[in-house]
Amino acid sequence: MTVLAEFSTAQAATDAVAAASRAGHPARDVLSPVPLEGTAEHLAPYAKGKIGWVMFVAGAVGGLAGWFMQWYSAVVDYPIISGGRPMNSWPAFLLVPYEAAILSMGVVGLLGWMWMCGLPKLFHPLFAAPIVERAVQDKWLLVFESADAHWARAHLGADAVHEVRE
Amino acid sequence: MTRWIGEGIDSLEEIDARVIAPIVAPRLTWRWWLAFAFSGSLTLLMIGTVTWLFVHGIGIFGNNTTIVWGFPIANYVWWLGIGHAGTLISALLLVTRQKWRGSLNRFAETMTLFAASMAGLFPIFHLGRPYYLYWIVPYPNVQGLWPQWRSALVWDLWAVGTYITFSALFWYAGLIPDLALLRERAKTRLARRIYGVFALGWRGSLKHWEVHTRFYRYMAALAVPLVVSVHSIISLDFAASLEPGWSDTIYPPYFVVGALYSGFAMVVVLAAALRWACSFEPFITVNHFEMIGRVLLMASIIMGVSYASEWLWSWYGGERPERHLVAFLFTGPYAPLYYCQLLFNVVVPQALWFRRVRSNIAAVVIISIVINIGMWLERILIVWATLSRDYLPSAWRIFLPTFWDWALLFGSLGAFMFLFMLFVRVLPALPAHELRKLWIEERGA
Repeated sequence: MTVLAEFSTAQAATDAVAAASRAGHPARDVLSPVPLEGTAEHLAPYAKGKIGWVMFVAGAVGGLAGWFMQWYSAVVDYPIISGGRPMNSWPAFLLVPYEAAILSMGVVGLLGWMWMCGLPKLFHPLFAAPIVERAVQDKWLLVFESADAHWARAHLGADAVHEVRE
Repeated sequence: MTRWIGEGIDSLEEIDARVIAPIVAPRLTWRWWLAFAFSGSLTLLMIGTVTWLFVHGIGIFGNNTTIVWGFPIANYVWWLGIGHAGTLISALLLVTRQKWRGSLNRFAETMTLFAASMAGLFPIFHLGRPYYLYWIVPYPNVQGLWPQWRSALVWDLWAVGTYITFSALFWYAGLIPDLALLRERAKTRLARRIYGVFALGWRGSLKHWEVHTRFYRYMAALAVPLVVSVHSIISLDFAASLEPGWSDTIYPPYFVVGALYSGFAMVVVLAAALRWACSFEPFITVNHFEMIGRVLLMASIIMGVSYASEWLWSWYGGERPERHLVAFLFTGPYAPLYYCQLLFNVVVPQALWFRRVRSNIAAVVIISIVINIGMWLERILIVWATLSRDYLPSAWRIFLPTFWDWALLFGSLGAFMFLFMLFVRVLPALPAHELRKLWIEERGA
C-alpha cells in the first residue's frame, strides 16, 4: 500500500517534503504540476540520472564520427581534388562534426532522459488513484511507503490522504 | 517588478482552462473559418505550383542564366531567418533567465518548426532534379560515391536538417507535461488516448522533473550556438563565393542578426493574432510587446550599422566591382526596392524608441509587418543585386519574377498559416506548466 498526501500549493508541498525528511520519514516521490527546484534533495535517497555526462559523451562520439566520416570519404575512399585544396580540408570539414555533435546530444539526451525516468510507461500503479490526474494540473501529492503512512497521516497536515493499493 | 501574467488569473485551474480552451472549447467563428479557408486555398496553390514545377521544371520561375538563385534561395534565407527567433526566444531567454519567455516560447518554437520546414523546401524545389535530393546525403551506394564536403549545398543540408530535428526534440521535451494535461482534459476517449501515448505516461514525478529541468537547460544551451551556426552556414553559401557584395566577413553575424530581427517581428504578429483569437490577454500582455519592441529596436540599429559598413568597406576597399554594386543598388532598376528596404528596416523601427509606441500593440504589429517586408526585400536584393552585376558585364541582367514565383511565395505563407491554425487547435499554444510556475513565483502562492 502507498499513501498520497495531498497539498494544494507548491509552498505547502515543499515545506511538507522538508519536514518529512527532517523527521526521518522521507517521501518516496512527489507528484507535482510544476518543477520544484531543490526539493528533490529531501526525498528518500535515489540514484540521480547523470544526463549531462550522457549528453557530453554522445556529443563527443557524434562529433568524432562526423569528422571520421568526412576524413575517410575525402582522403581514403573517394578523394577529389577540388580547387587544389588538400584532401583533408579541415576548415571546411568543421561544420559537419559541429552539427553532428549537437544532433547526437539532442537525440541521445531525449532518449537518455526517457530511460532515466523509466518512460514511456503509459500505466503506472499510482494512476489507480483518481486524484493523480490532478497532479499534472493543480495538486501536489507526496508519495509515502506504507511504513511511513501512519506518520504522514498524523503529522503532515495534508489537505487529504489517499491510499493506493499497488 | 514587472508582472508577466496579467490580472484576472486567480488559480492554477484558470491557467490550465484558458490555455487548453482553444482545443477543448474552441470558438469557431466565421472569421476563423474564413482565415482557415483562405490559408487552405493558398496551401492548395502551393501544392499546385509544386506539382507544375515538378512536371515542367524550374523554367517556370524567373531564374535566368545570370540570376540563377532568384526567388527560391532568397525565400529560403528569409523563411529560415524567421524560424530562428523561435529558438532564440525559447533557448536564449531560458539560459539568461528572462521570465517573459514563458508565454511566448511554445508558439514561437512551433513557428520555428513550420518556418524552417518551409525554408527547407525551397532549395529542394530549386534543385533542377529534386528527385536526386538524396545524393547530398552520405549513404552506401553501388557507385561508391560520397558527397562533396566542401560544397555549401551539403553544409546547408547538415545545418537545416540538424536544426529542424533538434528544434523538434526541444519542442517535444517541453510539450510532454502539457500533453499529460490534455490526457486528463481532452473531451473524447480517443483524444485522451492519443495525448496519453505522446505524454509517455508523464505523472509529474519530482524525480522526472529534476532530470527534465537539467536536460531542458542543456538543450537550450545547445540550441543557442546551433541557431548561430545555422544562419552563419547559410551566409557562407554567399560569403564563401567570390562575388562582389557576398565575399564579406561581416556576413555570418549580419545574417544571424537579420534572422533574429525578422523572426521577432513574426513572433509579434503571431502573438497579437493568438492573443486576440484565443483570449490570451492575461498571458500575452502589453509588457511582452514592449519587451520585443526593444529587441526589434536594437536589431534595427545593428542592421543599419551593417548596411553602412557594407557601403564603407566597398568604398574604402577600392574594388571597382564592389563600388559599382553599391552604386547599382542606389541608382539601378532595383533602387526603389532598396530604398524601401532601408526605410522599412532602419528608419521606421526607430519609432520604437518611444515607450508609447512600444506599449501600443497595434503600432508594434504594424512596425513588425513592415520589418518582415523589409527583411524579405533585403534577402531578395542580396541575391538579385550581386548576381545582376558581378564581374562580367556581358552577363549583366535583371530578375523579373513570374506568376509561379509569387505563387510559391504566397503559397508557402498560406501553408505556414494553415499549419499554425491546425497547431492551435490540437496542441496548447502556451506552455501551461511554465505559466503555472511563473504564476506561483509572481503571486507567491
